Amino acid sequence: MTRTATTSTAGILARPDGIEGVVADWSSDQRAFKNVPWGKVMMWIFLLSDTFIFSSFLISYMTVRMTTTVPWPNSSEVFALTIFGQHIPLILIAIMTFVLISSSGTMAMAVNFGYRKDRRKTFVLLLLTAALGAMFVGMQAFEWTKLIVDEGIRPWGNPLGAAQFGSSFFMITGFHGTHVSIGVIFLIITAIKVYRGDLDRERPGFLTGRKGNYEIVEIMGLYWHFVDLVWVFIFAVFYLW
Amino acid sequence: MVDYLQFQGYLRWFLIILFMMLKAGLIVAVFMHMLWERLALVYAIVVPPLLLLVLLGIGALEADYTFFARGVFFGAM
Repeated sequence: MTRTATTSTAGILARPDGIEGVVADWSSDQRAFKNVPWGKVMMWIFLLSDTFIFSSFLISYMTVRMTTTVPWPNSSEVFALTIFGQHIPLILIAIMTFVLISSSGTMAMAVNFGYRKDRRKTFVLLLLTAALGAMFVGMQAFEWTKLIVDEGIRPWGNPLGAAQFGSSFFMITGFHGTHVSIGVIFLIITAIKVYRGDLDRERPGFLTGRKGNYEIVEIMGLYWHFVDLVWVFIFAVFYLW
Repeated sequence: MVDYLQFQGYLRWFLIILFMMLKAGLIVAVFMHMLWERLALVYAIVVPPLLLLVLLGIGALEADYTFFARGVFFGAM
Protein backbone atom coordinates (compact mmCIF):
# COMPACT_ATOMS: atom_id res chain seq x y z
CA MET A 1 0.00 0.00 0.00
CA THR A 2 1.47 3.33 -0.98
CA ARG A 3 1.44 6.04 1.59
CA THR A 4 0.10 9.12 -0.13
CA ALA A 5 -0.61 11.95 2.28
CA THR A 6 2.86 12.53 3.58
CA THR A 7 4.91 15.60 4.25
CA SER A 8 6.65 15.24 0.91
CA THR A 9 3.87 17.09 -0.88
CA ALA A 10 4.19 20.06 1.43
CA GLY A 11 7.31 21.28 -0.28
CA ILE A 12 5.81 21.09 -3.77
CA LEU A 13 2.44 22.58 -2.97
CA ALA A 14 2.58 24.96 -0.03
CA ARG A 15 -0.67 24.92 1.92
CA PRO A 16 -2.08 28.04 3.56
CA ASP A 17 -2.29 28.08 7.35
CA GLY A 18 -5.03 29.05 9.76
CA ILE A 19 -8.68 29.43 8.72
CA GLU A 20 -7.72 29.69 5.06
CA GLY A 21 -5.97 26.37 5.46
CA VAL A 22 -9.15 24.78 6.85
CA VAL A 23 -11.16 26.02 3.88
CA ALA A 24 -8.49 24.94 1.41
CA ASP A 25 -8.10 21.48 2.98
CA TRP A 26 -11.83 20.82 2.89
CA SER A 27 -12.27 22.16 -0.65
CA SER A 28 -12.99 19.90 -3.60
CA ASP A 29 -10.18 17.91 -5.15
CA GLN A 30 -8.43 17.79 -1.80
CA ARG A 31 -7.76 15.20 0.82
CA ALA A 32 -9.14 16.76 4.00
CA PHE A 33 -6.48 15.70 6.49
CA LYS A 34 -3.06 16.68 5.22
CA ASN A 35 0.14 15.27 6.65
CA VAL A 36 -1.76 12.97 9.01
CA PRO A 37 -1.38 9.20 8.72
CA TRP A 38 -4.81 7.69 8.16
CA GLY A 39 -4.48 5.42 11.16
CA LYS A 40 -4.28 8.48 13.32
CA VAL A 41 -7.30 10.11 11.67
CA MET A 42 -9.27 6.92 12.20
CA MET A 43 -8.25 6.80 15.85
CA TRP A 44 -9.35 10.42 16.29
CA ILE A 45 -12.71 9.68 14.69
CA PHE A 46 -13.15 6.64 16.92
CA LEU A 47 -12.29 8.77 19.93
CA LEU A 48 -14.82 11.35 18.78
CA SER A 49 -17.56 8.72 18.71
CA ASP A 50 -16.39 7.47 22.09
CA THR A 51 -16.66 11.02 23.39
CA PHE A 52 -20.30 10.97 22.42
CA ILE A 53 -20.90 7.66 24.16
CA PHE A 54 -19.33 8.75 27.42
CA SER A 55 -20.98 12.16 27.25
CA SER A 56 -24.35 10.53 26.80
CA PHE A 57 -23.68 8.43 29.89
CA LEU A 58 -22.60 11.39 31.94
CA ILE A 59 -25.47 13.58 30.77
CA SER A 60 -28.02 10.88 31.52
CA TYR A 61 -26.36 10.51 34.93
CA MET A 62 -26.91 14.23 35.43
CA THR A 63 -30.55 13.98 34.36
CA VAL A 64 -31.18 10.99 36.60
CA ARG A 65 -29.54 12.69 39.55
CA MET A 66 -31.53 15.88 39.03
CA THR A 67 -34.85 14.10 38.73
CA THR A 68 -34.63 11.85 41.76
CA THR A 69 -36.70 12.89 44.74
CA VAL A 70 -34.66 10.71 47.12
CA PRO A 71 -31.37 12.09 48.54
CA TRP A 72 -28.25 11.08 46.61
CA PRO A 73 -25.62 9.08 48.54
CA ASN A 74 -22.72 11.25 49.68
CA SER A 75 -19.90 10.13 47.41
CA SER A 76 -17.09 11.14 49.76
CA GLU A 77 -18.60 8.86 52.43
CA VAL A 78 -19.35 5.96 50.09
CA PHE A 79 -15.84 5.91 48.67
CA ALA A 80 -14.04 6.44 51.95
CA LEU A 81 -11.61 3.84 53.22
CA THR A 82 -10.32 3.16 56.69
CA ILE A 83 -6.57 2.66 56.52
CA PHE A 84 -4.54 2.06 59.67
CA GLY A 85 -7.47 3.16 61.78
CA GLN A 86 -7.86 6.44 59.93
CA HIS A 87 -10.98 7.30 58.03
CA ILE A 88 -9.96 9.02 54.80
CA PRO A 89 -12.58 10.13 52.27
CA LEU A 90 -12.02 9.23 48.61
CA ILE A 91 -8.53 7.87 49.24
CA LEU A 92 -8.83 4.87 46.92
CA ILE A 93 -10.16 7.07 44.12
CA ALA A 94 -7.33 9.53 44.69
CA ILE A 95 -4.78 6.74 44.36
CA MET A 96 -6.52 5.38 41.25
CA THR A 97 -6.49 8.83 39.67
CA PHE A 98 -2.82 9.23 40.49
CA VAL A 99 -2.00 5.83 38.98
CA LEU A 100 -3.90 6.57 35.78
CA ILE A 101 -2.33 9.99 35.34
CA SER A 102 1.14 8.54 35.96
CA SER A 103 0.43 5.95 33.28
CA SER A 104 -0.47 8.78 30.92
CA GLY A 105 2.91 10.31 31.68
CA THR A 106 4.81 7.09 30.96
CA MET A 107 2.77 6.70 27.75
CA ALA A 108 3.78 10.18 26.59
CA MET A 109 7.42 9.26 27.27
CA ALA A 110 6.98 6.00 25.34
CA VAL A 111 5.67 7.93 22.31
CA ASN A 112 8.61 10.28 22.55
CA PHE A 113 11.21 7.50 22.72
CA GLY A 114 9.35 5.67 19.97
CA TYR A 115 9.90 8.50 17.54
CA ARG A 116 13.56 8.53 18.54
CA LYS A 117 13.64 4.81 17.59
CA ASP A 118 14.81 3.90 21.06
CA ARG A 119 13.40 0.39 21.09
CA ARG A 120 14.39 -0.61 24.61
CA LYS A 121 13.09 2.44 26.42
CA THR A 122 9.87 2.45 24.40
CA PHE A 123 9.29 -1.20 25.28
CA VAL A 124 9.95 -0.67 28.98
CA LEU A 125 7.75 2.42 29.15
CA LEU A 126 4.91 0.69 27.28
CA LEU A 127 5.06 -2.22 29.70
CA LEU A 128 5.11 0.18 32.64
CA THR A 129 2.05 1.92 31.25
CA ALA A 130 0.29 -1.43 30.84
CA ALA A 131 1.23 -2.37 34.43
CA LEU A 132 -0.16 0.89 35.81
CA GLY A 133 -3.32 0.38 33.76
CA ALA A 134 -3.70 -3.15 35.11
CA MET A 135 -3.17 -1.76 38.61
CA PHE A 136 -5.97 0.72 37.99
CA VAL A 137 -8.32 -2.04 36.87
CA GLY A 138 -7.33 -4.08 39.92
CA MET A 139 -8.16 -1.24 42.27
CA GLN A 140 -11.44 -0.73 40.47
CA ALA A 141 -12.26 -4.39 40.98
CA PHE A 142 -11.47 -3.94 44.68
CA GLU A 143 -13.71 -0.88 44.81
CA TRP A 144 -16.58 -2.70 43.10
CA THR A 145 -16.21 -5.66 45.44
CA LYS A 146 -16.32 -3.37 48.44
CA LEU A 147 -19.42 -1.60 47.17
CA ILE A 148 -21.25 -4.77 46.16
CA VAL A 149 -20.33 -7.07 49.03
CA ASP A 150 -19.81 -4.75 52.00
CA GLU A 151 -22.26 -1.96 51.30
CA GLY A 152 -24.93 -3.83 49.35
CA ILE A 153 -25.04 -1.44 46.42
CA ARG A 154 -26.82 -2.93 43.41
CA PRO A 155 -27.73 -1.46 40.03
CA TRP A 156 -31.38 -1.48 41.04
CA GLY A 157 -31.08 -0.10 44.53
CA ASN A 158 -28.94 0.49 47.57
CA PRO A 159 -29.40 1.12 51.28
CA LEU A 160 -27.87 4.61 51.13
CA GLY A 161 -30.39 6.55 49.11
CA ALA A 162 -31.32 7.02 45.47
CA ALA A 163 -31.57 3.75 43.54
CA GLN A 164 -30.16 5.48 40.46
CA PHE A 165 -26.78 5.75 42.17
CA GLY A 166 -25.92 2.10 41.58
CA SER A 167 -27.06 1.94 38.00
CA SER A 168 -25.20 5.03 36.84
CA PHE A 169 -22.11 4.15 38.88
CA PHE A 170 -21.76 0.60 37.54
CA MET A 171 -22.60 1.67 33.99
CA ILE A 172 -20.15 4.57 33.80
CA THR A 173 -17.20 3.13 35.71
CA GLY A 174 -17.80 -0.28 34.15
CA PHE A 175 -17.59 1.16 30.68
CA HIS A 176 -14.48 3.09 31.59
CA GLY A 177 -12.89 0.05 33.19
CA THR A 178 -13.58 -1.93 30.01
CA HIS A 179 -11.78 0.74 28.03
CA VAL A 180 -8.80 0.56 30.36
CA SER A 181 -8.70 -3.25 30.11
CA ILE A 182 -8.80 -3.20 26.31
CA GLY A 183 -6.12 -0.51 26.41
CA VAL A 184 -3.90 -2.73 28.55
CA ILE A 185 -4.25 -5.59 26.07
CA PHE A 186 -3.35 -3.35 23.14
CA LEU A 187 -0.47 -1.81 25.07
CA ILE A 188 0.98 -5.28 25.57
CA ILE A 189 0.54 -6.08 21.86
CA THR A 190 2.23 -2.83 20.90
CA ALA A 191 5.01 -3.48 23.41
CA ILE A 192 5.65 -6.92 21.90
CA LYS A 193 5.80 -5.40 18.43
CA VAL A 194 8.30 -2.82 19.63
CA TYR A 195 10.38 -5.46 21.41
CA ARG A 196 10.56 -7.75 18.38
CA GLY A 197 11.66 -4.82 16.26
CA ASP A 198 8.65 -5.11 13.95
CA LEU A 199 8.46 -1.36 13.72
CA ASP A 200 12.10 -0.94 12.73
CA ARG A 201 11.99 -3.70 10.10
CA GLU A 202 8.55 -2.63 8.82
CA ARG A 203 7.20 -6.13 9.35
CA PRO A 204 3.58 -6.38 8.18
CA GLY A 205 1.03 -6.63 10.98
CA PHE A 206 -0.81 -9.93 11.55
CA LEU A 207 -4.24 -8.38 11.08
CA THR A 208 -4.01 -5.54 8.60
CA GLY A 209 -0.78 -6.35 6.82
CA ARG A 210 0.35 -2.76 7.09
CA LYS A 211 4.03 -2.12 7.38
CA GLY A 212 4.99 -1.54 10.98
CA ASN A 213 6.17 1.88 12.03
CA TYR A 214 6.31 3.96 15.16
CA GLU A 215 3.07 5.77 14.36
CA ILE A 216 1.20 2.95 16.06
CA VAL A 217 2.84 3.89 19.34
CA GLU A 218 1.47 7.39 19.01
CA ILE A 219 -1.97 6.10 17.99
CA MET A 220 -1.92 3.81 21.02
CA GLY A 221 -0.97 6.90 23.03
CA LEU A 222 -3.97 8.80 21.71
CA TYR A 223 -6.28 6.07 22.93
CA TRP A 224 -4.60 5.86 26.30
CA HIS A 225 -4.69 9.61 26.90
CA PHE A 226 -8.35 9.56 25.93
CA VAL A 227 -9.07 6.98 28.63
CA ASP A 228 -7.31 9.27 31.09
CA LEU A 229 -9.33 12.22 29.77
CA VAL A 230 -12.61 10.40 30.34
CA TRP A 231 -11.50 9.55 33.86
CA VAL A 232 -10.94 13.26 34.57
CA PHE A 233 -14.59 13.90 33.76
CA ILE A 234 -15.88 10.88 35.67
CA PHE A 235 -13.74 11.79 38.66
CA ALA A 236 -15.01 15.38 38.64
CA VAL A 237 -18.72 14.83 38.14
CA PHE A 238 -19.18 11.50 39.87
CA TYR A 239 -16.79 11.41 42.78
CA LEU A 240 -16.32 15.07 43.65
CA TRP A 241 -19.76 16.45 42.93
CA MET B 1 -9.47 18.21 48.15
CA VAL B 2 -12.78 20.07 48.10
CA ASP B 3 -13.93 17.68 50.80
CA TYR B 4 -11.25 18.76 53.17
CA LEU B 5 -11.81 22.45 52.58
CA GLN B 6 -15.55 21.98 53.03
CA PHE B 7 -16.38 24.17 50.09
CA GLN B 8 -20.02 23.88 49.19
CA GLY B 9 -22.51 25.35 46.77
CA TYR B 10 -21.49 27.37 43.78
CA LEU B 11 -17.85 27.81 44.77
CA ARG B 12 -17.44 24.03 44.85
CA TRP B 13 -19.16 23.62 41.49
CA PHE B 14 -17.07 26.33 39.98
CA LEU B 15 -13.78 24.89 41.20
CA ILE B 16 -14.65 21.36 40.05
CA ILE B 17 -15.67 22.55 36.59
CA LEU B 18 -12.68 24.87 36.28
CA PHE B 19 -10.09 22.23 37.11
CA MET B 20 -11.87 19.56 35.07
CA MET B 21 -11.85 21.77 31.98
CA LEU B 22 -8.27 22.96 32.53
CA LYS B 23 -7.02 19.42 32.84
CA ALA B 24 -9.05 18.10 29.92
CA GLY B 25 -7.82 20.91 27.70
CA LEU B 26 -4.24 20.28 28.71
CA ILE B 27 -4.47 16.56 27.95
CA VAL B 28 -6.01 17.12 24.51
CA ALA B 29 -3.68 19.96 23.57
CA VAL B 30 -0.34 18.67 24.78
CA PHE B 31 -0.51 14.93 25.46
CA MET B 32 -2.60 14.19 22.39
CA HIS B 33 -0.56 16.62 20.27
CA MET B 34 -3.57 18.67 19.14
CA LEU B 35 -1.47 21.84 19.26
CA TRP B 36 0.72 20.52 16.48
CA GLU B 37 -1.95 19.20 14.12
CA ARG B 38 -3.34 21.02 11.12
CA LEU B 39 -6.31 23.22 11.87
CA ALA B 40 -8.61 21.18 9.58
CA LEU B 41 -8.18 18.11 11.83
CA VAL B 42 -8.43 20.17 15.02
CA TYR B 43 -11.77 21.63 13.97
CA ALA B 44 -13.08 18.28 12.75
CA ILE B 45 -12.45 16.77 16.19
CA VAL B 46 -13.06 19.63 18.60
CA VAL B 47 -16.18 21.26 17.11
CA PRO B 48 -18.64 18.29 17.03
CA PRO B 49 -18.52 17.72 20.82
CA LEU B 50 -19.89 21.25 21.24
CA LEU B 51 -23.21 19.75 20.09
CA LEU B 52 -23.21 17.91 23.40
CA LEU B 53 -23.89 21.22 25.12
CA VAL B 54 -27.30 21.13 23.46
CA LEU B 55 -27.91 17.66 24.86
CA LEU B 56 -26.75 18.92 28.24
CA GLY B 57 -29.25 21.77 28.04
CA ILE B 58 -32.10 19.50 26.99
CA GLY B 59 -31.23 17.08 29.78
CA ALA B 60 -31.26 19.83 32.39
CA LEU B 61 -34.57 21.27 31.15
CA GLU B 62 -36.29 17.89 31.10
CA ALA B 63 -34.87 16.98 34.49
CA ASP B 64 -36.36 20.04 36.14
CA TYR B 65 -39.71 19.23 34.60
CA THR B 66 -39.59 15.57 35.64
CA PHE B 67 -38.52 16.49 39.16
CA PHE B 68 -41.44 18.88 39.41
CA ALA B 69 -43.89 16.29 38.05
CA ARG B 70 -42.61 13.66 40.48
CA GLY B 71 -43.00 16.08 43.35
CA VAL B 72 -46.63 16.72 42.37
CA PHE B 73 -47.36 13.04 41.72
CA PHE B 74 -45.73 11.52 44.78
CA GLY B 75 -46.91 14.36 46.95
CA ALA B 76 -50.51 13.67 45.97
CA MET B 77 -50.34 9.99 46.91
